[in-house]
Amino acid sequence: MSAAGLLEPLEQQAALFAAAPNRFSLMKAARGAPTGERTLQVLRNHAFEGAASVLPAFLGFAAAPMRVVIGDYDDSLNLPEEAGDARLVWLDYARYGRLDDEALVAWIVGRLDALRAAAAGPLVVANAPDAGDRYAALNGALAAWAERTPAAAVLRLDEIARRLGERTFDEARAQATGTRLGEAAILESARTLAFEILAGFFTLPVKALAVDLDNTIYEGVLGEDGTSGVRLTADHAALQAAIVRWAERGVLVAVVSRNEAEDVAELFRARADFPLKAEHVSAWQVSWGAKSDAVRAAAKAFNIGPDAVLMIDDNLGELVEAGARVPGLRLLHAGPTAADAARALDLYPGLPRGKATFAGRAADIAANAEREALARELDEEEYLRALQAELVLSLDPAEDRERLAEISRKTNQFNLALARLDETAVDEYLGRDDRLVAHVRLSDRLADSGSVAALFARRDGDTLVVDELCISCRALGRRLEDVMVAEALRRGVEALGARRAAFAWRRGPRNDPALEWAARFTGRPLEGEEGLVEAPGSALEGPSGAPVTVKWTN
Amino acid sequence: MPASVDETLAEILSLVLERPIAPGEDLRREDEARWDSLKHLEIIFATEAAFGVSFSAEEIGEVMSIADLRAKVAAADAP
Repeated sequence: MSAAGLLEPLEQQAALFAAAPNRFSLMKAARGAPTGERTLQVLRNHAFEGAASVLPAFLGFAAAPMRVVIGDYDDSLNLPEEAGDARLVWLDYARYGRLDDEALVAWIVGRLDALRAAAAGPLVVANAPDAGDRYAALNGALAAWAERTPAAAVLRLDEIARRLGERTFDEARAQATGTRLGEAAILESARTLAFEILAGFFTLPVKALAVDLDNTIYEGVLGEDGTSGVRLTADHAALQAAIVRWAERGVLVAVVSRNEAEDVAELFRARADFPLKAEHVSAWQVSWGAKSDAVRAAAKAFNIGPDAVLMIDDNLGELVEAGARVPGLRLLHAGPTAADAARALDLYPGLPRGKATFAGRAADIAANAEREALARELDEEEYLRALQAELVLSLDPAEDRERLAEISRKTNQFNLALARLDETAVDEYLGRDDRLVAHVRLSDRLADSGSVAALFARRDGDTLVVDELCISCRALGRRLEDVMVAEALRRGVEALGARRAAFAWRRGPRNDPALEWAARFTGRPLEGEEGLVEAPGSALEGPSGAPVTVKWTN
Repeated sequence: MPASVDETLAEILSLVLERPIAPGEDLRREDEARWDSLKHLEIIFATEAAFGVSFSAEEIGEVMSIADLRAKVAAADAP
C-alpha cells in the first residue's frame, strides 16, 4: 500500500476515536469508504438513518464494510423476507406503553427468538436508554437473552446514556428527526455498533500489540532523559493502563523500540510507577533496526500472522514504514495526545471483547522458548515425555459455544476447511444427533495453553466427515496435532456409528500449515482448491501410544 | 488557513448530496432532487457539528437553501 493509503486511516483516527464524535468529521472520513458485499438489516420503529450515514466510516476503518438496509417503521417487529448478513433490532421501547412490564419483556424476547430461528448471522438488539425500573428489567431480560442465544449481542444504549447524561435525548426535535435520541447518542451508537459489536463478528482479530516506548507510553526519550528522566503523565498512565487491560484479556504485548536493550530492561526495573510492567510484555524487540523487522519478529515469536498485530507508535514515519513493509499490519498513531491514544485503544476494532478470552496466553508464549529448546535436544518420544502434555477433550460442550465459534472464526494457519462457523452454525453441531463437536484443551508442565482446538463433524453414510478442523497457533509446534485429532476422530466415529472418517479441506491464503498436516496425516496429496480426503484407518484404532495424557470430560 | 463559511457549507452539501458544490453557490432545496427530508437532517446536523450552532425544531423546517444555512451561521457569529 502507498504511503498516502496508509496515512489516510491514520489521519481519520481523530474523527473516529474522538471523545465527542462530530458528524461533519465523520462524513469526511466516510467519503469513499467501501460499502462491501455484506448487508446489515435494520428492523426499527424509529429513525436509524442518522447512524446509518456515518456507519461506513467506522466499518470501513474496521475492514468490515457493510451495506445498511433499513426497513420500514414497524412496531410489531415482523420477520423480514430478506436475510442480511447481520441484523439490528432498533426499537424505541417507550412506544409500547400499552404493554405492562412483563408483557413487554415476553413480547420482545419472543420476537427475538423468532428472528434468531429465522436466519443465521449476528443478531444485535439495541436496549433501552431510558431510566426507571421498567427499562432496567427490560435491559436485564435482553442481556439474559443475548447470553443464552448464539451469535447475539446487545447494543448498550443504557451505557451510552450513562455517559452522555442529558445529551442522550433530544425530545424537542424528535418530531423532525424521527427519534427521541439526540445526535450525540446516535453517533456513539454507530461507533459502538461498528467497533465493539460488528467488528467482533467480521474483523480479523487483533492478537498482539506492538508498542513503542519513547513519547508513546511516556513523555521523553530514554536515551537522552534517562530512566528517571522520562515522565509518566496522567495521559501516558492512561495509555499504559489501557495496554494492561488488553494484556489481561489475553492480548500479547511486544515492546518495539529503538533503544539500547539494557536501558529498556533497567527502565522497567526502575519505574515502579509504570502501570505496564515487564511481566505484561511477552516479546522485547529493542534494537536500532527497522520497526517493520521488529514487528515481524514479534509476530513470529507469538506464532501469529503480522496482520494480527496492532502497532502503537507516536511517530507517523515509523508507522508508515512498518505498514508499507508488513502487509495487513494494523496501525494506531499515539497522538495527538496519549489520552487520545488510550481512548482509541479502548475502542479499537478487532480486540477481544467477548467472554471467551484466555488470560494465560502470555505465560504460554513465555514457555515456548523452553519447549523449543527441549525439541532441539530430544527425539520425538523423549520430547513428548519431557513435556508432560495433557489433552482434555469434551464432546458437544454447549457451554463452550462462544469459544468454539471463536476458534473457527479466528484460526487462520491451522484451519483446514475455512468454514468460519458462527455461533448459530456451531449450535447445529452441538445439538443435532448426526453431528458433533470435539473441543480440546491443552496443558503441559510449562504452562496451561487453554482451549486450543475444535473438530466439527457430521455423519454422511458410514463416514464421519470433518467439516472443520482448527488448531490454535498456540498449540502448534508441539507435535500434538496427530494425537488430538486421532483421539477426536476415534470418539467421533464411535459416537455417530461411522466406520471411516474424512476431512473437508479448502485452500486459503494462509492455511498451508493445516493442508500440509492433512497431506502428511492422510498420506494423500491435496490437489486443487478444495476437496475431501479420507483419514487412514489406523487413525481410528485407539490410543496412539504417544506419551501424552488424554482425558475426556464426558 | 481555515476554510471559509462558504467553503465549509459547500463541502457539507457536497458530502451529503454526493455531487460537487462550488463555494458560494446558492443551492435551493426545491431545485435539488437529492435534497430530501433525510438528507436535510444530515445537512442540518453536519452544519451544527461544523460551526457549533444549534437549530431548533422550527428552524430545521425553515431552512430552504444554502443561504439560510449561511444566515444561521452568521447570526451565531454576530456579537
